[in-house]
Amino acid sequence: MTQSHLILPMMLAIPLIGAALIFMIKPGTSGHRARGLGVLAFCFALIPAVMGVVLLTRFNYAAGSVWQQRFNYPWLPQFHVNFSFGVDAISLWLLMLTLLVTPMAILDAINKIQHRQNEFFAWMLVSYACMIGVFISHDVLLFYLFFEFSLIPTFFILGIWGHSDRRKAAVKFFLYAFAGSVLLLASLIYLALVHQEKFGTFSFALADLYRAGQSLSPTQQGIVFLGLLIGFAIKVPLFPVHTWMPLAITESPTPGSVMIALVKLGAYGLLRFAIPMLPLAAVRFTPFLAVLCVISILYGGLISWVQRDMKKLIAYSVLSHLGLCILALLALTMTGLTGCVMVMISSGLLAAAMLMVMGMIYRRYRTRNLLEISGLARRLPVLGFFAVFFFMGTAALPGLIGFISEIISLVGTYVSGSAGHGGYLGPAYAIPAALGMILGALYMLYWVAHVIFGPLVETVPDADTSPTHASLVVQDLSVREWLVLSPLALAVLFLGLYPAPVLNSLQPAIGKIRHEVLAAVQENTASHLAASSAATSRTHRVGAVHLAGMPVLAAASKAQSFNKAVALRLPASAR
Amino acid sequence: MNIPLNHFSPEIIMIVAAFLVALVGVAKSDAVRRSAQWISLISLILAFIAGWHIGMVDSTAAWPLASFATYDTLLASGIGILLVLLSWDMPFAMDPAKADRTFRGEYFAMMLVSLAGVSMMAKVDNLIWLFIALELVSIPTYIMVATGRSNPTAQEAGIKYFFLGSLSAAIYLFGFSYLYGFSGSTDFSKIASAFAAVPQLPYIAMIGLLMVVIGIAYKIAAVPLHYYAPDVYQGTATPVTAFLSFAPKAAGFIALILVFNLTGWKLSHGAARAVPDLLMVMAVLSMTIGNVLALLQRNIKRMLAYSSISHSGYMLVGLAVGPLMINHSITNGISAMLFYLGAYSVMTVGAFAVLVYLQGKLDAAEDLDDIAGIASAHPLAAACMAVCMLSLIGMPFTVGFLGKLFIVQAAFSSGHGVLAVIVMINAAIAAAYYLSIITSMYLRDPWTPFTVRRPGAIQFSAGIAAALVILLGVFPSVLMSICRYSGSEVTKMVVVNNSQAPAAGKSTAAILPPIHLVRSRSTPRPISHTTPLASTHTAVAAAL
Repeated sequence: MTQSHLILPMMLAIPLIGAALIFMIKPGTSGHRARGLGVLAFCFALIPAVMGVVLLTRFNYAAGSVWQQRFNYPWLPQFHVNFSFGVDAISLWLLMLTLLVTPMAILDAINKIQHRQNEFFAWMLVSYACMIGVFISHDVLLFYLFFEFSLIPTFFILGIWGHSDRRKAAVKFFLYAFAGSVLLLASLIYLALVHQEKFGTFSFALADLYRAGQSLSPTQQGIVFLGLLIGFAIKVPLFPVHTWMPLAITESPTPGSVMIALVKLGAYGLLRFAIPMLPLAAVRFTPFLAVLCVISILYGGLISWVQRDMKKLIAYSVLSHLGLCILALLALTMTGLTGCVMVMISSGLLAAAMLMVMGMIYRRYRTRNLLEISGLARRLPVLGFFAVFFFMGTAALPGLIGFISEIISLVGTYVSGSAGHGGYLGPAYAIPAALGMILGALYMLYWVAHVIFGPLVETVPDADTSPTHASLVVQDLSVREWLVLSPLALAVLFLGLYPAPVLNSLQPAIGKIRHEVLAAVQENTASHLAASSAATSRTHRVGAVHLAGMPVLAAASKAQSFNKAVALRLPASAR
Repeated sequence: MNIPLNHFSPEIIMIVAAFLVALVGVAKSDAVRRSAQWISLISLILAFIAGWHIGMVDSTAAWPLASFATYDTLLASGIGILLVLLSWDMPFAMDPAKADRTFRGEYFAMMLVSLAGVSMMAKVDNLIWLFIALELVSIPTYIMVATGRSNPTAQEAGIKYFFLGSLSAAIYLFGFSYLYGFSGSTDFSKIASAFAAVPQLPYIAMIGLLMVVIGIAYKIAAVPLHYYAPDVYQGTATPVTAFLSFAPKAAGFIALILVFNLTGWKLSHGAARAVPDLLMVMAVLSMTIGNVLALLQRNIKRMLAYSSISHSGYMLVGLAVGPLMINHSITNGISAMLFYLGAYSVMTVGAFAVLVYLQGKLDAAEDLDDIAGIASAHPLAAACMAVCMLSLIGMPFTVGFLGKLFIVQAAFSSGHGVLAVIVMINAAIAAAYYLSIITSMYLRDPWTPFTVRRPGAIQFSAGIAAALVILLGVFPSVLMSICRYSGSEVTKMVVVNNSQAPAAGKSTAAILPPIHLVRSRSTPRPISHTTPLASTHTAVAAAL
């Protein structure tokens, strides 16, 4: 480590300091103090965002695959666990997403939280710090610590300030995520021990675990991969283990659901850790996982279509998008992996924005049922505009980020498996996924047509139950709500029109991850070929060829590009 | 005993203080009687300082288990301080009407005697002494259980605990007799050389070992002798429950380590495999049964009783994988177990301290309903409880996380991957009931109004415990070094068995001479960071 940059640890520390400070201030009974607490929290959330801008200027985009702005400080020297921070292009953009959206969520929450405001904002800041920590951790154990610790603030936010079914939702959320992550931890410890056994040091450093994981046999990789997969698939979430998410998003207060929908920890974990660490297993599991992804896409889309609860609609649309995200990841083409990161960004951005819009509607009408309200564009033109904007973004309107991310992902999945692209998927997966996206457009349009443009129907909140809404005339966006939504809208528009900087800077980092996988798979294939041909060369040489499942004999010795293209298909058939 | 007398100064301090407390306790004046807690507290602090001083200043050359014994003493006196603080108003808690006829003297005297037993456990070098130390721990606890509360359930708990405890003592004493029969001596060194002389454990010794394990399973509340724990924990006064969750357990685990030391840990092949196999089965059953039954409880004391059973299971994993690791590992099973013992003690005692502090239907909060919504009325107590619960779950940045990490790491590096996965699955099951406590405190509305009339000492002890949970979770270096040195001392007890080829396969049978550990002890390891704790760390490293 040549130099220690303090920007990342400071980014992590400032929200934590803010949280401790805010926690100690009693909110009092008057609204002023509570509002002050919110503003203070917003400021503490904004400082890391400003530092994020500095980070953007300092980042060397040409070397996007290199971890930059490194900071290293030994924590458990006996275990070689370090406070080791850094960002590469992938984590940089996901970090930027967090830094953009979380302050907006906090700003949105000022005045909206009715009790225990100090605790609320403190937990929000802790959650924020965890999300930052997850993306800047270079040490895998450190990643795990933040990943796991982020459950606690979300649990409290959901459980204390949530809606009617909040306790069940909070407990379910915690137990699902925790159950997955313990196996994840076991797998990581195992990999660290493998590294110790084979390379000498007990280490959780990212590169070391890559090396350790790739040195395992395919069967061992499969077992370890299963551990990682359970942890990350629950967190993503993928189809059979997704049930916590709609409940958690629906029952959570708006800022809490924004935090849940915003951060794609599971997808990030799969992309950064599971797939490159255990490439052979990942390749072997690909068809199985891809089917789950397709189910997630279609299932999420169908449920959204019939959903009458607005927040649930968004939750299932997030499920659908994340299915696409993982599908594109599994495609293992450059396009697909880029699409995966772009879907993380776009889905995070759009889901957060839509949830905030929903929160604003809910605040005005006290209902989330979309049959009870309609024609809001007449009453609330500005809110209606933003709602349409974000919904069109989600429905992949060209020119907005949703379109870019979905089209890249679908193309990446489609070309996967064809010559010259590598990968294991193909049109068979891309077509149903595209169908799912059409479904997405369908339910989004339905929602917009009904709620925003239908005939004006309002359920005016009961004056008795909600004294703050005593007036019958519902106001359009306040200045603060403007401030909350417009940065998000600008980001959606800007990245939709001009995604090139993000896309370009992602290439080296993604290429590196892809290379980890392909190189390992290729090496395994080559050794398979060598072993099988050595074993059978004396008797019948053709047998080796059939065993490898290829009509071409000299695959291993041919030009590398050819080798890559063919060898990639191999493990599935050579098994 | 060939251990210098000054090494016993912590125990001497505790025993002398115990007599003093018993005398003071019968005084006429209330003010004099009240000094009993202070004397206990000061004596334990002195014992802690003495233990620390001995560990730091005296050389390890004195005898081979010096840092192991130091850790034991520090644990007994350190946790003892917390226990004295949380039972600060012990007699008033049970019956305010009889405040003038308190058991205060007896209670604290018994506690000190029992802690002295825990503290001397690691220093014994004779089977008779081992038995005496175990009984020194146990007999006072029988009295404490029965007299802690003046209601029939406490009597019932006391009787139950006493009879079963005597039975278990009989079982392990019977086991000791077999060890004597095998070796012809009660002296540890002679028994060890008798074990070293035989290539394989003879059946007579095997039976002895198994009986010792089963008998001591009662002390550590492990399956199959766990049945008493929920009833006794629930029946007696909460401070006594806290004591029971620590003292017998620590004593039992240390006794087990000592007994296995005698065999030179030649437990990995031949008929002797039965011992680690038994330990593993006990570990898995304790974890699983403890956690699953805890899920069904609404009474927190009962829940924590099952939780303590399951934590015994985690520690048994450490014991079962033993001091031998396949490759040169960071922690061996014993140091992981010792670390977990410390972690478990701190977090469990912290949880009980909060229960004592909160007023419930009886002398302390017991039900999930009792603590419903206390976060608004007692934010500090609730926060302490939450920290302890999160640590028991094994969340990051708490000592419980590191405990699990070390246990799992030790299990993996001895080739017991399945055991490690079972530990992790159990951690996930356990999260459900610990979370129900947090849920009750933070997410529910208050059930009953609380009238806290407890002295600050109790909350102080809860606060210290919670702070320790976080501090040791973030800066574990000191605790970790002591545990690692203790573990490596145990590794040196291993007799390398050259006549026996290591059994093939994945078992612990791959016995490596513990050279790396010897080396790591003699050469100072590089200390690359410069926190204040690092200097302590260095000091500890140098001294031990």
